[in-house]
Amino acid sequence: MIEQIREKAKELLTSGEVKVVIGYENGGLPETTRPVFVTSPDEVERLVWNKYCYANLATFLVRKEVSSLGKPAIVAKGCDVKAIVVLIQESQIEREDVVILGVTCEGVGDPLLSKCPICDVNTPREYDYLFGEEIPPKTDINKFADIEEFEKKSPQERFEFWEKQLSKCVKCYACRQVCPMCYCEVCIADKNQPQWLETSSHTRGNFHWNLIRAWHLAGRCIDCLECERACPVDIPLSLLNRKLAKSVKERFDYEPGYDKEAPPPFTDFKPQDPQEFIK
Amino acid sequence: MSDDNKKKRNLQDAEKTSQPTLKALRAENLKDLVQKGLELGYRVFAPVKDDKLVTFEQIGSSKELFLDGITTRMSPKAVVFPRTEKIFSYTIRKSEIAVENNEKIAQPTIIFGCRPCDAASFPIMDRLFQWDYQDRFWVERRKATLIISISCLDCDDACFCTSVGLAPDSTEGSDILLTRISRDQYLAEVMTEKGRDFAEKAALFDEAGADLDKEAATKAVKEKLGKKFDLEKIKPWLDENYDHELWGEVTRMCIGCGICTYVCPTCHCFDLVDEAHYDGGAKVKNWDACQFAAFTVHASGHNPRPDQISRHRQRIMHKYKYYPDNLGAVLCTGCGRCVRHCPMDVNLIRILKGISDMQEGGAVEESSKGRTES
Repeated sequence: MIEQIREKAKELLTSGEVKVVIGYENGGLPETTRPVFVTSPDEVERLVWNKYCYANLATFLVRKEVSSLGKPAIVAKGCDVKAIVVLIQESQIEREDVVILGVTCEGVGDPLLSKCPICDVNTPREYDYLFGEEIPPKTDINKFADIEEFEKKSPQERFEFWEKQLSKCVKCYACRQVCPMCYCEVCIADKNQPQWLETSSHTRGNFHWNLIRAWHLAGRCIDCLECERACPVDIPLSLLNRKLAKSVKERFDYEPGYDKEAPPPFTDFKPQDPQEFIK
Repeated sequence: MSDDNKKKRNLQDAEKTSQPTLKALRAENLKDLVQKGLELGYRVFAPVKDDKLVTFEQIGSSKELFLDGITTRMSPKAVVFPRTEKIFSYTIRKSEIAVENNEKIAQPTIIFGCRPCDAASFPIMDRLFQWDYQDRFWVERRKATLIISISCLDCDDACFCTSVGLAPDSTEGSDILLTRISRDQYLAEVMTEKGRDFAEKAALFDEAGADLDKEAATKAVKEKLGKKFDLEKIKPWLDENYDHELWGEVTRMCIGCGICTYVCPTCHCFDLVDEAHYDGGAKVKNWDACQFAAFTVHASGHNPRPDQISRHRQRIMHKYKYYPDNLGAVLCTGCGRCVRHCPMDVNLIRILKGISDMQEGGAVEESSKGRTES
């Protein structure tokens, strides 16, 4: 499979159709890979594909350090493609401005990351070229089993859980930086005239930041779980993101990243949207 | 700065006893040592484990200790340099503003079970916090903190202390360094008056016999560590190559999170912010990071470090050029945390090895890339 990817990368770079291929190369530590930006056909041998290709490379599509290289092709798993789709939906990139090298994926990590067993995009839903055997989407999965379990706790228990988890936050903002959906040129956390958010990483300041981050991703988070992978203090951020994803699914029957033509729920109004909260 | 000043500004040097005192500690007494510290009224910070996260926490009992890891996720710098602290607070009343300084800075504290790379970070940062200004938050806490570290007998691929002039059994920064010599015995090197004072009060140490051979105990890990790059070759290259295509090649994957700086035992940048509300507020000192765009942005909106490539270059330049130029020490202890925890594997070792190989006349392009097998 990697040979086909390298061959296609070489072809695209040689013809000049793309200026850079965003993919993975082997990392410096065992069981790691690193994003690589291949700009010359002679360098396609650097590209690899294996179960340690964790990073959602879509985040680089909206970073100027990479977009300045020219039109990209990008190696993307099904979950990564969902991020590309949201970037298209939100007018951050045009579909024709990126060549998607979709890879079918049985899951990454050893053991598998928690997002993988409940993945229904093992075959990406959007691509220009597909590599690997097609894998039919799983149908018998409950994406929100852990959220349903968590909702059974009392408000007090939930608060204590989050108080403990969020007290660990050091405000390194890796959750924001790694996220392909966090592309604001100036994040509200960085605005200081006035200072909207406390920059202190005490528990109150940490609640402030983490809840703002989660809210801004409601209906937008595609559950690539990169925030949770990056977090240096193991905060289970996916629980926050997916609680909101579940609400959006229940209320608007919408999941981001599946249909590039669908209007995002917070930019759209349908007469049948639930409105029982208006009293 | 003159050499004389450099010396004066190192708290550790000032307190170092002329000769380390060698003692022995029975392995079964290791936890008692922590318990003794608690009984003597010290706050004790030590590695504890919660699920997969091992980090320094204040402990109430030696039962909480977890000493099996290589390094903890976060370094112990937060004990002396907390990630957030009030400098002063104020209350606005009808006819006056009452200002209250944060006077309760230092309490007797033990950092127990840190690694030599963590202990070594403190004297390096002493140089900065006592440079042109005595940072009393740092200085008072440093004076009140006793560091009991434990030599490493194992390492991983991210460790590189031996490449920056340290070792898995370096005594720099430790008041007492413990090295496990056998299943039953630790060698204790008591380095300072503070350490000697505690050892006497603890009354758990025996006289060291000649059989406590530290070199033999740490030989294997030193061989495993080897040397990953040539430190001598780094600064001369940095002196000449502020602009070089290498910076783009090796840092383009950096996403600009602050993980490398926040897990780092020697990164010490902070921001002063006002947290105000209706009838009062506080001046707060918070960790900050050169990897953030907002770190250097001017009031005009201009940012002299406009992209991640220049911000990442800054981190390496600060550690391996500016700090040595200004304060006479490399601002890195080779703990490897930035390498281990970078979500994009930017990998400082790879970059420094690339620079050092290039100085050898080798092609940087090869050494700075990933392993090529698939």
